[in-house]
Amino acid sequence: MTDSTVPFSPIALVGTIAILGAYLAAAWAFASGIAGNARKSRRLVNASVYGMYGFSALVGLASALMIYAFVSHDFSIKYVAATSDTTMSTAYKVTAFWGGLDGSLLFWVLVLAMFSTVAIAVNHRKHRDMIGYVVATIMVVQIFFLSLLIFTKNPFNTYLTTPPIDGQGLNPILQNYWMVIHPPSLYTGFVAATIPFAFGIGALASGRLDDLWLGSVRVWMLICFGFLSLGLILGGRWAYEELGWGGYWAWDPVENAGLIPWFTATAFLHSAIIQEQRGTMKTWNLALVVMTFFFTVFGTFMTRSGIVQSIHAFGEDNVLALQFVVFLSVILIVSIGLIVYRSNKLATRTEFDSFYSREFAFLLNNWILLACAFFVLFATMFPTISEAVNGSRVSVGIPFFNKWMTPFGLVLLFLAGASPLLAWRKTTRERLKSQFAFPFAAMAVTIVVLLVAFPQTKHLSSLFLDQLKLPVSLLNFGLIAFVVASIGQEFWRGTAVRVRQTGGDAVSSLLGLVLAKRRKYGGYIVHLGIAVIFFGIAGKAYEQRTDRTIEKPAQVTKDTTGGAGDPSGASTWQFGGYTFTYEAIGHTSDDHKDAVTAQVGIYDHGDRIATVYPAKWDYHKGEGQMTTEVAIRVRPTEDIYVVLTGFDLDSGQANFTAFINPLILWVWVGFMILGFGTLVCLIPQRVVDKMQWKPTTRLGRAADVGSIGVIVLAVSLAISSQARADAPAQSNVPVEHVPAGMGMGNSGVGYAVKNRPANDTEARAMKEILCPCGCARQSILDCECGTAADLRAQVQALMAGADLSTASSRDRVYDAVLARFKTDYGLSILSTPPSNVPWLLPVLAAIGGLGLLLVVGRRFVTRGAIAVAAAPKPDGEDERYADKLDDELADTD
Amino acid sequence: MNLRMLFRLSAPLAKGAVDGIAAPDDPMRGMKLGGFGLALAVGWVFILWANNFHVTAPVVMVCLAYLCVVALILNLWRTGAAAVAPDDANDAWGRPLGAKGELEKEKKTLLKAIKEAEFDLAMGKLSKRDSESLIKQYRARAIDVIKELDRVGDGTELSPREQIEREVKARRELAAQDKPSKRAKNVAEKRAKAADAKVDAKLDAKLDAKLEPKVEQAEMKPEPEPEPAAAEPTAEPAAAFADIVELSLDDIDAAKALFAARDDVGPVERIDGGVSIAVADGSNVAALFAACEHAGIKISRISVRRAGESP
Repeated sequence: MTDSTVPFSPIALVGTIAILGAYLAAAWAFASGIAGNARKSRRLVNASVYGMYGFSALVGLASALMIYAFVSHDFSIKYVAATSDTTMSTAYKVTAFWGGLDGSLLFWVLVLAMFSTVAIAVNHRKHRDMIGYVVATIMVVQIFFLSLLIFTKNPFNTYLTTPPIDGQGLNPILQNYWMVIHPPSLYTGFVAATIPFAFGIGALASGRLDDLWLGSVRVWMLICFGFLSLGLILGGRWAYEELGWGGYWAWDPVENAGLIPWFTATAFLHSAIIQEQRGTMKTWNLALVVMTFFFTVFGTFMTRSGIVQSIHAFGEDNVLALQFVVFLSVILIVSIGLIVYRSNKLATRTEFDSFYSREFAFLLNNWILLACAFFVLFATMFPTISEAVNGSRVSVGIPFFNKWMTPFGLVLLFLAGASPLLAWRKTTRERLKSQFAFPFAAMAVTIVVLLVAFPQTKHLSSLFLDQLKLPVSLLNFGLIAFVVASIGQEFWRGTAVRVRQTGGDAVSSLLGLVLAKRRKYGGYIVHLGIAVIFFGIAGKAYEQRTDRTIEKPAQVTKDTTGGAGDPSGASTWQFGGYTFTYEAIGHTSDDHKDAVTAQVGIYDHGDRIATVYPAKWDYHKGEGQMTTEVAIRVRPTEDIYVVLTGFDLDSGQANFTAFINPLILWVWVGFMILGFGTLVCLIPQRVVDKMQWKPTTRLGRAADVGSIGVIVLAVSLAISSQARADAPAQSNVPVEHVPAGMGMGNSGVGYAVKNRPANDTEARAMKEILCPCGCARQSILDCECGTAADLRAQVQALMAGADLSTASSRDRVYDAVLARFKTDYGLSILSTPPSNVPWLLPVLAAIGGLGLLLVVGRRFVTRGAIAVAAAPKPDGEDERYADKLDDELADTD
Repeated sequence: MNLRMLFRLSAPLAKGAVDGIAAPDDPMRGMKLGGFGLALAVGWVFILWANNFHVTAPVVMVCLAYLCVVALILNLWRTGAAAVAPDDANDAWGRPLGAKGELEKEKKTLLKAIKEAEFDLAMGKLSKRDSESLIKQYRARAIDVIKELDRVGDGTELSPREQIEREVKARRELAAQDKPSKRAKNVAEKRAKAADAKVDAKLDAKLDAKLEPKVEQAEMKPEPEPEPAAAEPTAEPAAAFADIVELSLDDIDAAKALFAARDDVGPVERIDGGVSIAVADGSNVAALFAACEHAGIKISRISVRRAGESP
């Protein structure tokens, strides 16, 4: 009989048994899979596959029990008590499943189990000679994560003493609807990389290295790419709405952990096409598959071991770090060993007919993507490496990343437009002119128009080094026009050809074209999405920001949403062409939080265009950690982004930070286009075969196209509808008394507006100095806390009275201020590494990589020239077989 | 009654355990699926009844947990049944996936490539000359592939001997490409003297890579008696080089004796795990393979190189 003082949870008991059972099932599936394929034994391979299904059922059982524990408030389980409480909504209780380290590992195992079940069920028969190895590889990964669960991070651990009556609640900043879907999508992207890896290892182990396995792998890599993209963009959206700093990407290590495998997965998706088309680059493709998987595990390692500092990381855990290092080593050793072992079967003779070919453009694209992946990896790890080498942690901030990634990004953007214009094998000079004329013309016209109409686009930005400055914005817009024109031309000409071939109308020919060549045109849509995302990113350069302290709200007595407010007086301020009126502030409270909500009216040329409600929420279980609830008014050209950064309910004083973020909507729209393109690529042939989409009348076709358009528009609007803080329950919220500084944390009144830079040199220095308050690696120019305000004051004091009349004197003062901060606070206070090493290494790697690419490319092209020159002329065709071939060609779309 | 017996006794029900939960050709498919669904439905109704049919989050989770339990029991049983099922020696499953899949894949790729080249021509990406040249090459290869597929489809899947012969032919074709025309020679000399020097080494690696699986396949599948010499394809036209063939085999002495008696084979040397033989110009390596088979000598690996080249 259980002692009443000792908690007993049947859920925890059964859950733990399920995990232990899963461990055994994984071990069985692993052993029988390897033995089965090695001995060519059908029964063992089948036993392995069913063992894996059983494993998935056990993991599903453990996960269902875990969520049951959350929704039934079983606080005898430590993990449940640590990440949830009774007041949380059911959705957030389910979210809490992956809100902590232990649960996130179980969630990882669950997602991989589901994916592997689907992957194996689909490919079981097609790849029977390697499926046992595939199962075994997946099971090794599962065994690793299960080991972590069983030996160090069991989410079913219970209290040995009386459990708490209520839990501690989920981290407040995770209680956001984007957080409900962001981690699962990123995990799914990470996990999806395991399937291609398992097939790659299976192919290597079985020696079956033809192109068959590539088809299965490509689909899963596309899924990996899609979910990683979704995870990254949702993470950006979450940061944009929840962190209140006006941006969406800060090169945070955990963001980078998702980005690095995204680069390698994208590289694989391109180089796999070369293998399919030309039968070459087998080793390279396998290496990319291995790298993608390695980086997903490495990203998990970064997030969970605490080796990097991030607001997203789970905290330091040396034991976990060691376990991950061992696992990563095993992945590398086994993968490289197998590739070397099978090198004779992987050896192919790569030949390119010309530099002006699509395959060479893909090779270039691979080099850029790999360079991006390794640069981000290097820069992310540099603080840790520097600390290990010389004991001082050097920070690598946003400017460092931007200076390097911008040129890479521009080259990739160019390739996104140029590759579709090139033919496989060779594009002759005349064809090149004909293909590139329109896109280049579009680019030139765009640049000229921007120069005339928007001269601010001439602004020079640093690339690589401070001394190298280019009109990046102008180039970016020009290249976006180039890509859009290139893709548009491809669709236009392709449709025209299809119309000629089928005799159909333009709309059905376009749809037929996309469905018949889904990978090609789906890929073009993805490229278009990338161009639109770049369009949104380009707006970041023109971001405006203001910080205002307003003493009292306006007395709003009229309808606050109908346009009758008063856009004048002391409660208003002008910014970015708009007038903002601080109208009210109120305090509300519910079971799990206090909320202080301000009401701000926004006017455009006297017309009230919006009422927004920026807020601060203080969760009762949040240990004083307030969340920022940003208010956003979305316009196609710009977002008006209002943050309540401080308040005093007694006096009504409030501090606001407002941003004008040009074009940012297009980042999200671009992603939706990218997602749509990915889905097009994933449409299975049998679905296309079943589509009998043949409306007979023009009206019917128009109705179909219209319906599709409406659906796409509705989905787009629904997704892009901007979040804002909930409006107060009543429009005129009665102001309750809340002590001054209630739950203010670091967001006291006026901190954000205190000691703002008085000149460009001060602003430059403040941008270079990172705030040490624990924020999202923001500079003291952007951070809203009191620490940042104090440090800004120090900068101003150091610059007081200094001669800033000439450029050289300004540089001297700037350097002196940074040197002083470095002395006082250490290297980590600066956002750009002062040492030459982090600058030099990427330069050398980039130059070396480019040189290697040219050498390799030249060699491939030379081989191709020899092969073409020496190729025997095909004999006359056997008529019977020529007819047969023609018949088959007639059935091929 | 032990577990193995239990699984075996349930063999009539276990057919699906080997071919899937309920293979389409399984006569008991409906019953199995019905049983699975019934167990699930009964359990779910019971859970709902116990909760007064109030569908709450915990109830949904219990229902999902029950689904997992049913799936677990089913798969554990299938695992056991599969593990104790007898391995059928003649089971086609254990044979390596033959050349047919590869050929089908290659044909599909070639058909798409031809279509793509036509499409690129129509779109203006390729010039007429380039597209014609490309399509000609693709068509020639596609016809070869269709021919081979026809043979495979007729049930005359390539024997190891034929596969070897095909590889040798392919090798010679590739080797012939290494003797470029005058124009190609100029190109090569001007642009890639160094690259050209490594071509042969790569060729050998490629050939080895191609040969290996075929020989492995030969081991898997008992080969019928060799065809009479008359049925063998005519020998390749005499080439101006001699090949060194290295054979890894199980009975070295017998092989030495066999090759020593042949006129078309030069000096035979013993190497580690096999023999190395010099083949006179025009010799058919496939014939050597067939002779070994006829003599009961099992060859596990063959590699071919030019005389004078390092192994």
